[in-house]
Amino acid sequence: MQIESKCRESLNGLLQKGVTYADVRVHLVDKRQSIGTMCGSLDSQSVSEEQGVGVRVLFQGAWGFASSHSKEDVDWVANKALENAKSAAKLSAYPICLLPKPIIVDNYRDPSEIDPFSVPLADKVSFFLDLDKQIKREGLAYWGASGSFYKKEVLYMDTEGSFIRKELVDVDGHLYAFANDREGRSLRRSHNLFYDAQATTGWETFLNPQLFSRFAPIISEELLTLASAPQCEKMTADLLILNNQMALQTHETIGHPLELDRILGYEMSYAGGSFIGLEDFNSLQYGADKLTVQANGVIRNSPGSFGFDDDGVAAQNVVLIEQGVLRNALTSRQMAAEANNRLGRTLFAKSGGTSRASSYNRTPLERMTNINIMSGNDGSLEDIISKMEKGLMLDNPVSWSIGSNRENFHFACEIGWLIKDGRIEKMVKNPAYSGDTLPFWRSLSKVGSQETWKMEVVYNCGKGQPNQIMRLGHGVPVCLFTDVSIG
Amino acid sequence: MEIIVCLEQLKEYLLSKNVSGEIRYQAEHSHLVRVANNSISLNTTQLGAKFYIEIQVGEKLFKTSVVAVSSELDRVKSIIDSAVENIGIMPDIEFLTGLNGLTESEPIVSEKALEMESISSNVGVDIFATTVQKFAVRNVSLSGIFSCGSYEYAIVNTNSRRPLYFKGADFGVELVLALQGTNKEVRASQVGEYLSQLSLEEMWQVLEVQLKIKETTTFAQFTPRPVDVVFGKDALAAIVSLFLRLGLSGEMFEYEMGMLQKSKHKMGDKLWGENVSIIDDPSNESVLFKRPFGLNGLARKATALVNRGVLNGLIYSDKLDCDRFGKQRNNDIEALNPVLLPGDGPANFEDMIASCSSPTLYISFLHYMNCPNRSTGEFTATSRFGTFLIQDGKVVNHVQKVRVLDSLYHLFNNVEWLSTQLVAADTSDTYGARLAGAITLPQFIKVRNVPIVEN
Ligand SMILES: [Zn+2]
Repeated sequence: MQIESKCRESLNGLLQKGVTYADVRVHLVDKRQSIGTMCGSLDSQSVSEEQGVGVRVLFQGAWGFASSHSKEDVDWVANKALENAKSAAKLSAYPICLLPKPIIVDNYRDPSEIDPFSVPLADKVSFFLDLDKQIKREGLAYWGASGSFYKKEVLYMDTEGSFIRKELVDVDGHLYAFANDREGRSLRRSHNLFYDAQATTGWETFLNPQLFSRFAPIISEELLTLASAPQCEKMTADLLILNNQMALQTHETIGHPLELDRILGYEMSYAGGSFIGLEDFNSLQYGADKLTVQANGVIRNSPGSFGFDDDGVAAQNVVLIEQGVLRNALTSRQMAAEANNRLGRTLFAKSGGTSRASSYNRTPLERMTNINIMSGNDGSLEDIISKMEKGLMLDNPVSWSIGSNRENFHFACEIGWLIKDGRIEKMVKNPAYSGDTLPFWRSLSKVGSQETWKMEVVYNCGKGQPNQIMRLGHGVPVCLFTDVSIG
Repeated sequence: MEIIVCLEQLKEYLLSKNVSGEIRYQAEHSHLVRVANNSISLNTTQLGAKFYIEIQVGEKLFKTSVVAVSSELDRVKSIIDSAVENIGIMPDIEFLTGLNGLTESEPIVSEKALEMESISSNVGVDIFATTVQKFAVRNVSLSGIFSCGSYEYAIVNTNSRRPLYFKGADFGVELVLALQGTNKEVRASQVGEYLSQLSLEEMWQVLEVQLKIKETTTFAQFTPRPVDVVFGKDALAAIVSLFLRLGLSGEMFEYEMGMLQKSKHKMGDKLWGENVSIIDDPSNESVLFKRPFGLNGLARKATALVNRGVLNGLIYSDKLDCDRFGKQRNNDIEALNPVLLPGDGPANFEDMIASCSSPTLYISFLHYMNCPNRSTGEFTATSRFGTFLIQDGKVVNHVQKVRVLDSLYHLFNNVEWLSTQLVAADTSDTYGARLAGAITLPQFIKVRNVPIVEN
């Protein structure tokens, strides 16, 4: 029997057993290939192929879930999920209900021109070995280039009648170099592939030198200078954050605290909660007026765009923060309904389409799509630097540690540049900064214009138990913050 | 056992293709119940199985993995075919060495594995339901997980005589109570190999003690400054876990990317305090999840890693990294049974409190640990689930979460005492395949002058 018919039968069987709702996700194809080099030779290469099925069942207000690596097990999985839901229903203080959604019968395909799996392996290996050569310099301890390619074909069906097929393609790439400073301590410089938001996702992403290969010689030159640069001193000063670090800043202190499941306490025992409460929407001044943030799941080209989420809800563009004021959250059908119920009024009219699972063996959770900061009108990077009296510019995360309610943070970066009287004075090593989330975003004083905006991608966002690693995006400009605690 | 037969056949298949190679199989049967807001938020069961295949021809290497079960032999063979077909185009890795044989062992199977696999989905739910009931009058909200299951790994290579097989079982429980309408939380956790090791009463007792402190002492701000700190087992487990990865990994030492570097440090260097000793010992009475061989098929023997503050051993697990540096693998960092040896300090909460006369912070748990500077062993994290200020032998305040920014050098050179009693802290991984893990360590450790910083 075709897998579609088998799944449909299982869902019908569940309806006959009295479930309120059920959905099934089949990963028909789930492939990943990774290639990495180090110091001129191949360092890692792997191919992984997965497939499997997961079924989620809502019974008497409680979820049950089960999965198997064998998609033939769909009946066993469905029954196990129901059994799990029945026992979960015994402890249910907030019986689960789902906000309504349209029935969707549709396909989604990531825009991609060259399937990375169709490119001969030898070509891909030599591409990364060539980049490795471009990074190589006298004085580096280690260096290398790597890339990963993902391809998924996912089938989604639910008891409400939705039937969605998705073909997802992603690529990610990384360039790195290590060198020792004068004290013999290791320093790193790196570059992560970013996307052209208007382009396509396949192997062609690597072929655009502006996104990736251009940075191979840059990181090594910068690292060799960094190796003899002074330590970043402690100070309170203006901080100009470049794109890759801006992506992390946005991710950790806007994206995660605005996940509605965190706000409602569903991640409390592990990842933590959120300093945001339901009463804060439409009133809290999250940041300066210059701050407008979207959760944009319909950006053409990004790993945070996926067509339809794993609740079967269409991806959409939701304004999270409008001119500094908190407006919306990352929402799913379940959490939006629960928030409305708790408040006794409609705060979230519909799901924002951010409910995603990392694979067939995980349940969907509120996950970031593309959490983007809208570009401003403070000009180019050079324009912003030229107006700085004294401060620090930095980029690329080394370390990040965030308070459990996302109320504060401590970040360390690969590289910093001291700025004095409108010019870059010198490079400094081991820069770090910290702050309280709200005062920090309220101190946003300059937002770079569109020319500084980049579509950064994140491939390692972890959340949930069992843990789920998710891919997403952050379109961000460069931004200036005042009076930041540095060092 | 079906998987052993399957691996034997796959080994023969590799030999028939005239390649050397290694095949590892990993499988899990997992249950996880999650609670939040006094409700079950997730009740899930997962079956997983995967083959990891490495083929070597001369100086060429090809790695691949596939989700399959032992009955899908043809599917795995077709993946091997494709690896053999592709290996010719791979560039030479000039330092690649041949595959050595693996250790030999009878199959090891936990007698509790089946019990954990077939556990009723009510068990986890009941743990939470009784806990909610127990604290019903306290105006708290329960979060947590109950995780249990079995995990298997089996490995063979073209130079080993027969496949190795290990099947283990484990459970972990985590209970968090949040005081409604506040940011205050308390936590208790347990880890074990079989359910009869679980004591809910003990966990409730831990929660009670901490709740009582929050109810009977006043809340205060703590002005950031260096202060003596007593770390509880979960905070200490996070620190030791980082120490193992950042300090005692042989690969990090060779690459000089961690806190120890081969150009600066050597075996026999006295780097930490006299009272700090760390061993890895799969035969130790006190350890959970004893694994006499790793996922890489190497025998694991008792090793003193740090002996009275002296660097005595490093963990080398990865073949390619070791080949690069001309080293031999000696262990598997994924399968460790680490023990931080005990000292002569107090072992229960009351005695610990009574022993602190000067101002001391108690930190039970460290949230979101990361390393701003690996070379200096610098780490940072915030305290969570109960941070108490102790003075004159009693808890004087419960304080807000604080940020620790210390180095592993400073910390392990300033240990005032370690408890006499050893406990296990859960370090199990839920990232990929199930793999139980625990660190055995003293119940408490007191460290002098730990830097507490603003954010
Ligand atoms: Zn994240």
